[in-house]
Amino acid sequence: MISVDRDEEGRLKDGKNVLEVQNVTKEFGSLVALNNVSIWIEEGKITGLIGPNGAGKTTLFNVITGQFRADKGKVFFRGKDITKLKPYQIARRGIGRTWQVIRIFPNMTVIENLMTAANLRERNAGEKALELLELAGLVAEKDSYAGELSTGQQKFLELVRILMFDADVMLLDEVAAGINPTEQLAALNLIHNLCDQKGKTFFIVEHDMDVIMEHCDKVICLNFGEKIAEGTPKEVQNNEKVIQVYFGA
Amino acid sequence: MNKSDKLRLAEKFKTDKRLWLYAIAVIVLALLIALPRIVNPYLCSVVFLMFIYIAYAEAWNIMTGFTGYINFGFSVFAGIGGYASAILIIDHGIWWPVGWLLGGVFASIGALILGSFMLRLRGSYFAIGMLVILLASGVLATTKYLTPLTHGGYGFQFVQPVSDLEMYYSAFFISAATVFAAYKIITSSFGAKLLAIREDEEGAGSIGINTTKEKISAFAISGFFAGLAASVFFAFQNYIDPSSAFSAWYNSLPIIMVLLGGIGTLWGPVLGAVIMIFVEEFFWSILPETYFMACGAVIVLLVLLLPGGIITWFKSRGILPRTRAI
Repeated sequence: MISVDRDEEGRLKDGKNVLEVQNVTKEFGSLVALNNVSIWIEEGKITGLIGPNGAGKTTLFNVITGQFRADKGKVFFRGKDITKLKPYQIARRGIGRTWQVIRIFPNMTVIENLMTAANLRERNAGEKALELLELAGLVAEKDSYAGELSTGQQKFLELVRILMFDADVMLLDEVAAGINPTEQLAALNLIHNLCDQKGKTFFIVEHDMDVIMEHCDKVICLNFGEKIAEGTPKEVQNNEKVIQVYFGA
Repeated sequence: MNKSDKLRLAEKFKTDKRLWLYAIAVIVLALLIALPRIVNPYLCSVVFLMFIYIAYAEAWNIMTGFTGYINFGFSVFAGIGGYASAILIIDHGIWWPVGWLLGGVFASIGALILGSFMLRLRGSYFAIGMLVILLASGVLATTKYLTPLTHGGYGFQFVQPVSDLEMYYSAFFISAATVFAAYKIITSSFGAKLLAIREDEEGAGSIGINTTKEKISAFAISGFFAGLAASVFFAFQNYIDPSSAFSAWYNSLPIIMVLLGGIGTLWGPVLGAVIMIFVEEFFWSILPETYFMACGAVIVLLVLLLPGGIITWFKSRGILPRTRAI
């Protein structure tokens, strides 16, 4: 067991947190979507993000990946400030994301979808794409239009596409939603695989509590744009505030 | 070739349909090259115009068909090309191939400059903005500051030191070059990125594509070929003025041709241009006063029946393969 330096709030020192959100506030007119939110994501772990609809989970993702600019606060990736960068710059640094509503390119073939995400200098992009298709179980469909795949297949495609540019940190927005249990299991196996064998970091938004409980190392709960709980799945599950949010009071 | 070779070739023609395509293509190309020697000058000028139309259509398609950003300012670049080349050749004695190329270069620079701020606007604002710039260009060319350069509102007549044959073969070459450039783009990773922008610009950004840079590049390439083809066109017209340079009709023409032939495809613009020439000539010969309307009616019908264009319709039905190279 390697001991790591943590400060009073449990944050890893020496910038071993691959992703840090510091005191971020995001407002849309009078609506405060995120209110002074601070979180840190440990490398090589799976962190879950839960909260009711409208809590600010997708907004938080959007701030991290650059679709929105934080009104206050900063976002750090491997110690560098990425708050003001554009989405494509953040992606190139190694943060990939998938979306609540799948965003593959429907009128392009499966393999073309992957090739669009390839780095310019990548010489073996074609080979890499085929390897990733094997991982996703989509080699047979490589020349089909992405729009013709089933939802589960499209989710896998979206997931492996961000591996084309070697994303180290992957933000997955409801990856288990809308697919059958077999596909869910396959997706989560893939995620664990990438985590354990390649040291990838995952930050996942999920509504399915079983998924959160069984697969996450740490869970963060948001409500009305504020962080209301953080800790291991068990801790968060038993947190009073979280119980109130999900079961009313 | 001995007998067995001939038999093998005949077998190949029976089994490989593509050989027929190549054979027809070779015959058509040979015909086009030999045309000035075979037919009368008027017919030659019609084919010449067809080459220009092909280049115009393909150039417009490189921007709008591939990125999805509707360019309502095509004539801005055609006009810059026409003016730049005419001014350089007539007023400054530049050799005509260089003058025409520079026409393309100036149009491309215009596209780079305009694109750097216009392409930061969302789709509909970009479209309207380009239309406004087109109208403004026509006015700008007549202002007293630019008149010494552009010869003002009345324009100027000229005869460029180019022979008809040189014009014909230049137009042929330029139309081929434009189609070839489009082919190279659409089969490359640059083209894949442009198509990704068309599919979902925000999604494209999230996987690391610098959409602004790619859009501006496509715009600049489109502008170059528009200006280049326009240079030849105005050389043929022997006249340029603001209203013909920044013409509304020649602004809409590429749009119509590409929508007709198949937007976003490689050969769609070519098909659209060829059909357009036929339709124009046919209706002009029987309705010299109102052929515009007849053309319009035919086009509207075709667009209603085959949305996206002919080639796109064939691809969606599976009649044509769905590869990007068609």
